[in-house]
Amino acid sequence: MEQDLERWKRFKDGDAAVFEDMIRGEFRALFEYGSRFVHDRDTLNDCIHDLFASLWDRRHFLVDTDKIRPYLLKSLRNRLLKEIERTNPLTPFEAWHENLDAEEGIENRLISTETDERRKRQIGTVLHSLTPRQREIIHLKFFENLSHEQIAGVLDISRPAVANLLSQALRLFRDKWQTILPSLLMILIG
Amino acid sequence: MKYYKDYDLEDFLQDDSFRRWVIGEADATEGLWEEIVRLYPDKKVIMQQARELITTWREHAAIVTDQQLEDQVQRILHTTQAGVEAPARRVVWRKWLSAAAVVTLVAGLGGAFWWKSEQTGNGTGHRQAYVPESSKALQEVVNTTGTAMKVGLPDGSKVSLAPAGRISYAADFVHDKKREVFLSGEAFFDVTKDPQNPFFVYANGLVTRVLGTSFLVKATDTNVEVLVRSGRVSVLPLKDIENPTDRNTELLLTPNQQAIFSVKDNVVSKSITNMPLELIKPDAEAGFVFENQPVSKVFSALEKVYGIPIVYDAAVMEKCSLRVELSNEPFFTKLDIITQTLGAAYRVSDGQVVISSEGCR
Repeated sequence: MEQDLERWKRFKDGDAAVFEDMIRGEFRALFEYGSRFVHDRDTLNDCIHDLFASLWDRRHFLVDTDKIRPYLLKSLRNRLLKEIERTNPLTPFEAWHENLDAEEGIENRLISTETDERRKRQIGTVLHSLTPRQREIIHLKFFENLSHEQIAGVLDISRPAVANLLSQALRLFRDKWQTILPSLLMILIG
Repeated sequence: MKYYKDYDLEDFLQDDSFRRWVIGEADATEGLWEEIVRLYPDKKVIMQQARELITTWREHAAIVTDQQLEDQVQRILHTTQAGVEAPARRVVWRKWLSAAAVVTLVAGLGGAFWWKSEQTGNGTGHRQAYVPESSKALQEVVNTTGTAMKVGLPDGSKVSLAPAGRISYAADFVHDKKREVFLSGEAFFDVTKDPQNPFFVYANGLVTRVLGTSFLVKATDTNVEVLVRSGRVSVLPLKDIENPTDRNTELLLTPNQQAIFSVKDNVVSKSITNMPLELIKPDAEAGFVFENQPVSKVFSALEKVYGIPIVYDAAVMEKCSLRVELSNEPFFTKLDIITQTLGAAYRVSDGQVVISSEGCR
C-alpha cells in the first residue's frame, strides 16, 4: 500500500502520466463494479468520466489515501447512487416484491458459451434473486478481494454490519443453491 | 489444517487463499487445497460449489474491450487536459440542454400536442422533461367515433381508446428504457410484459407505471382514475417526480384496486373498483358455498378470488361461523350478504375492506 500512497501523491502533484496510468489501471474494476447496479453502459461511462475529471480538478484538495482502489470504488458508488436518484425517483418494482423475470438482465446477456450454458443460467438465476446490496457485497468480497474493513469503508457501514450482510447474502445464496443442486450435481459429476 | 474438515461453503468462499487458488493466482499455500481434497473427500462437493460461484461470478462481470477502455481513457484525458467544463456542472448543463431541446420540440410541433391546447398549467412544465428528447415525431391517435377504438402500440401493447380519447406516443417507441404514452380521456391498456422497459402513462399530472398488466385510465379535467385489472401498477403525481426526496406519494395498486388522483389538490388516494372482478375462479366444487364454516374461511376465499385484502379482528370474530350460498353476485353484494348475516358492517379504506363486528355467540 506504500506504492498506492506514493502514486496518489504524485497524482496530486499533477503528474499526468501517473493519472493516466491510474485511469487505465482502475477503469475496468470501476466499470465492473458499477455494472452491478447500473446496467446502462453510457451512464456508467459518464459517471466514471465525471469521477476522474472531478478528481483531477480537485486534486489539490484531496486527502491522502494508501488504498486507491477502495477509495475510487466508494467515490463511484456515491456518484452512481446520486445518478440513479436523479434519473429514477420512482421506487423500483423489485422493492414492491415484484418478481422480475430471472431471464432478464446483464448477467444473462453476457453468457456466451453454449457448453455449460444451462449451469450458468441456473447460477445466474440464483445470483439474480439476491438483492442489489447483497450482490454488491459479494462483488466487493469475491471479485475485488477487498477486506471487511475496506468494504466497510466503501459502503460506509460498520465492520460488523459487513460481516452480517455478507453472511446473510451467502446463506441466501446457499439456500437457493440447494434447490437447484440436484440438477447441478449431475452436470458437475457427469 | 485441523479446522478445514469443519469448513462449510461460506468458510471456503471467505478464505482468501482458497479464492486465489480458484482464480489461479499464485499463493503461499501452494498445494494446500489439493491436499484438502485428498484428506477430506466429503468436502469435494462443497469446494466444487464454492469454485463454481467464484468463477461464475467473475464471468458475469461486464466486459470492457481494449478498444472501449482506450476510448474512455482518451475521453477522460481530453476533458482534464483541455480544462473544460467541470464535471459537477456538466450534468446540470446537460439538463439545460434537454430542456432547450424540449422547448424547440414543442414550438416545432405546435398543435400536434393535444395537451398544449387542452390543458393549462398543471404539470405541463414537468411533463416536458419526460417527452422524448430527440425530435422524433409523435404519433397521435384521436377517437372521433362514437365507440371504443382499438389501437395497437409498436411494442405489441393494446389500447382500447374511449370516444373522444386521445393518446400520443413517440414513433420510436422504446426510448431511454421507457415506453411512454400520453393520454387525455379514457383508455384501457393491455400492456405487453417487458420488465427492462417499463411502460408509463402520463395523464393530466398523474404518472402510472407498469411492467406488464391491464388497467384503465380515465382522465378528466378534475380527476384521473386508474383501475387495475391484472398485474401491478404504481401511480405517482407528476409533480412529485421532480422532487425525488418525497417518495411517499407513490401508490402501488393491485388488481381490483383503484387510484383516484385529484388534479386540484395533487393528491392520490386508493380505493377499490366499483365492480371488482373475479381474478381466479373459485374452487370448482365448493364455489362460494359455505356450510357452517368459520368466517375466516369465507373471508380468505373472497380475498383469494378478488385479490382484495379483507381486514377484521380475528379474535373478536373467532366464534362467527356462516352458512351461506353465493355465486355470481358482485363483490360488494357478497359482502353485504355476509355482513348482514353476521350482524357486522364493512367499509372500504385505502384499498382494503375493513370489517367491524361485535363478535358472535
